[in-house]
Amino acid sequence: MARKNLGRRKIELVKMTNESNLQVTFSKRRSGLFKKGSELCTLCDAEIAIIVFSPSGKAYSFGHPNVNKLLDHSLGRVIRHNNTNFAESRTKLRIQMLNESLTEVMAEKEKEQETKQSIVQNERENKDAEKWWRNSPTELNLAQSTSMKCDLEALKKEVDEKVAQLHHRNLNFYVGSSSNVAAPAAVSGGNISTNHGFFDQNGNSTSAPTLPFGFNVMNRTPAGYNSYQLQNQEVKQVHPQYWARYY
Amino acid sequence: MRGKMKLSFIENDSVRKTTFTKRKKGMLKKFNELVTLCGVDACAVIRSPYNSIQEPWPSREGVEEVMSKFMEFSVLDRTKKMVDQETFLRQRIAKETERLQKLRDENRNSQIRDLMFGCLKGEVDVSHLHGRDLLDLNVFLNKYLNGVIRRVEILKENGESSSSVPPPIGVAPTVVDASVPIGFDGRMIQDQNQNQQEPVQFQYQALYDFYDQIPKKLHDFNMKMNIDPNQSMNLDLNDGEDEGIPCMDNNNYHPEIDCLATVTTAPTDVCAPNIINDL
Repeated sequence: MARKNLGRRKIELVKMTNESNLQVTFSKRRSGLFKKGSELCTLCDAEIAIIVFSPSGKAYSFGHPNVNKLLDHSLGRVIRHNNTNFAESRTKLRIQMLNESLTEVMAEKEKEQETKQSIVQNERENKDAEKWWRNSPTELNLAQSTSMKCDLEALKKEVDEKVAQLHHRNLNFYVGSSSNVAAPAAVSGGNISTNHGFFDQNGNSTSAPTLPFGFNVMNRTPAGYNSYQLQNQEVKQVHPQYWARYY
Repeated sequence: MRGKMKLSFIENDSVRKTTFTKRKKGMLKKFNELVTLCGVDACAVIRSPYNSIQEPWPSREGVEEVMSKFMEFSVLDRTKKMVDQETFLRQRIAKETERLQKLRDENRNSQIRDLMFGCLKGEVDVSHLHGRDLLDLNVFLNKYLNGVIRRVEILKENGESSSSVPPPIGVAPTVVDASVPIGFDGRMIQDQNQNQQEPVQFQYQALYDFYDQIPKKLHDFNMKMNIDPNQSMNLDLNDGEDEGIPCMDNNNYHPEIDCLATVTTAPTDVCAPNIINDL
């Protein structure tokens, strides 16, 4: 039987013959049945036990407060369980909190659904305006793709600059004390070679180094100790006042 | 139309009793549908506060039969799929939360896509975006641009060419469209792309050269550190003389470290100006 319209349709209330559909239907309806049972327990403080066997022979069961307890009651055996009033109260309170949490999640989900509906509505309106650039990239021809590519690259350059500024601002905030000194215009090879001690040690210690922290770290390691001695001697020879600046 | 019912204990006794009766009937109806459609065995026991007698479904004999079958299972098989209300609610919350997160991601993607097209049309200024939108736009823009680039490559491989000029995006027309109103030529586009991409390649080359030097110098420094302290100091002084650095003054010493720190933490685009000046 071919379906004329998309969407759900009524089904005959007879045993299904399609195996995969049977399994899916069982899974959905079992879940819905357990949901109804849970709601009934919450609203009316009823005690419910449900046992369902799947087409493949597995046993699914739902029970409040417990499947075993209700089964024993049903069979006429009055076996005393270990539940006390205090434990039952705690369980009831926990279930109440879970129900509230579930209600919140469902409300947020409905809100997002409304947002999605409004977005789809906007897209439908925009599609009527016949704007070629909103199509998927797979639907564009060569000229359109090339033009779109140029514009996107220009926009990407602009966005990258803004992102770089954002990162730089964060970096300055993190190393606020060091940003007081202006960066040099050029970096010579010799200076890089000389400063690699600091660079290496600081690189190993932390991702965003500062000089005082670097000194502290170097004092605790043999390599740092050597570098410390070396640096100390050099600075003393040239500028004693410069040394005092960091202590 | 009734409002959405609050999912909590009903305080009013008569309302609660009525709700119990109606919902019990509805649940048993759904039970019937499940058993009929899937041809499976099932039973239910409902015990209400009003009647001390519990109500088996479909019948007492049916319940006993199903329970006997249930008891034949091992304890492990019995409890594997057994849930109480608390466990069931936790499972439902987890499932709904996952679904909610997926829905949020979809909506976010759609919003960022609209934002990107707004920027292309000139309706939105990039400098007015705050951090979260800017980063998301950057990620989405990279993906979309890759898609468009792949599309261009596919079309070029197929040898497709178009003689019609596409209409401009939104309000701002592109330079290419303005410069070539008649007699559109694909080669012009390629030349334009090559001219635009040269600076990017140059920067990448500069960065590559710079980062290639660091391992060698690190290696040299590590070699020095393996020697005992006295010799290490002497060797360093000699190296200093060879490199032509007579002394280190205040202006040169501290800022170097700042520059290196910037190199380690800042994105590559921030490093580019210093490297170009150095070269």
